[in-house]
Amino acid sequence: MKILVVDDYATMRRIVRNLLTQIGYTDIDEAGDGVSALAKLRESKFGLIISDWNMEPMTGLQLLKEIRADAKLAGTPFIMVTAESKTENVIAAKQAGVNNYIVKPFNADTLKQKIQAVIGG
Amino acid sequence: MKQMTKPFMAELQKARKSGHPFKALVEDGAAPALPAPVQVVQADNSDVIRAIGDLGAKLDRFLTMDAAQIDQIQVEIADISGRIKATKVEMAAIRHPLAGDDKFQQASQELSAVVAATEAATNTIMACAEELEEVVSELKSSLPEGYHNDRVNDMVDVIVRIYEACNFQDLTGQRITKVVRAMSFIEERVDAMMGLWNKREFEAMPLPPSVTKKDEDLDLHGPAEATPDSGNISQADIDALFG
Repeated sequence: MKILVVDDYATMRRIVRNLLTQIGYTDIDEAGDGVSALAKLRESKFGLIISDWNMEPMTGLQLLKEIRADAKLAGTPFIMVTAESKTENVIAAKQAGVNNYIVKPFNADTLKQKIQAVIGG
Repeated sequence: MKQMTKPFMAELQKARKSGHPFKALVEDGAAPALPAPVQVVQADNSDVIRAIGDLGAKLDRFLTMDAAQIDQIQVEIADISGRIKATKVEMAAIRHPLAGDDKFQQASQELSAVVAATEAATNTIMACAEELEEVVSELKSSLPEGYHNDRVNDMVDVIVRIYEACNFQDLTGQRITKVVRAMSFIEERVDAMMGLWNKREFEAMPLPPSVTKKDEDLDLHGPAEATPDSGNISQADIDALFG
């Protein structure tokens, strides 16, 4: 399964990539913001998106809404990994169609559990 | 008894102009009467004197009270004036037009440097952990099942914990960005307050004291980039100085 990691912090992308590798996922691609993520999603098929929320010029929530509004991409599982932990934010993401939500800082176990909850297995 | 008509001033003036002295007429048209003899009238004016006295006392009280109020207003105006001046001095201390260093800019630069430094440090830690992971992976594949292999697996767990701990960089970065935004807001408000006054007024105010730590006459600036215009020199330049 190919995973797209979206975060404007290169270091954070690196952390998520390494943790994913540790828990057994090695087919990973990265994007630095919502716009480039959307371009990559339209180029090739991904089985999961792990995205930050607070990014410029397109936020994680906007990316999620774009994906859910696109007939070809709408079914792609989406996990939000973010420091935004206000109830209203989590609810807004849920209403926009997020499959799971991880608050930073997080560990490998949490990541593994959420991925399994979303894609099964 | 017949009453004589009392002349008005206008009648007297008219008579004087015409050259005919004024003659008072008796009401019923009879011949003018002779001037009345001067009479001394005895009247009790004590009431009038008392009334004037009362009025004077009231006027004194009014004038005294008014002066006290004016004094009070003057004191309050002086107080407000003093407070405005003190506020201006404080504003000048934050952002003096002639100060060489901009405290807001300085603080913002320091915080940006913190983000950059932690990011660099995190990347170094990550790179080291990645190298360790490679070594551990090699070792693991070359070792038979048993104690040593288990210990290598423990090392893998430790490496994962290093990756997890590196989360802090993203969070501190976001928190510092929030601080920089808050500072930027305060800076705008201070500028707006200063804009309400004549900027030249602030130039005349005392320069703010330096917040730089001192050791006798030397300023202690702490960490800084070794750039040509910063006045800081690199380790290589220091080594060159020591020949």
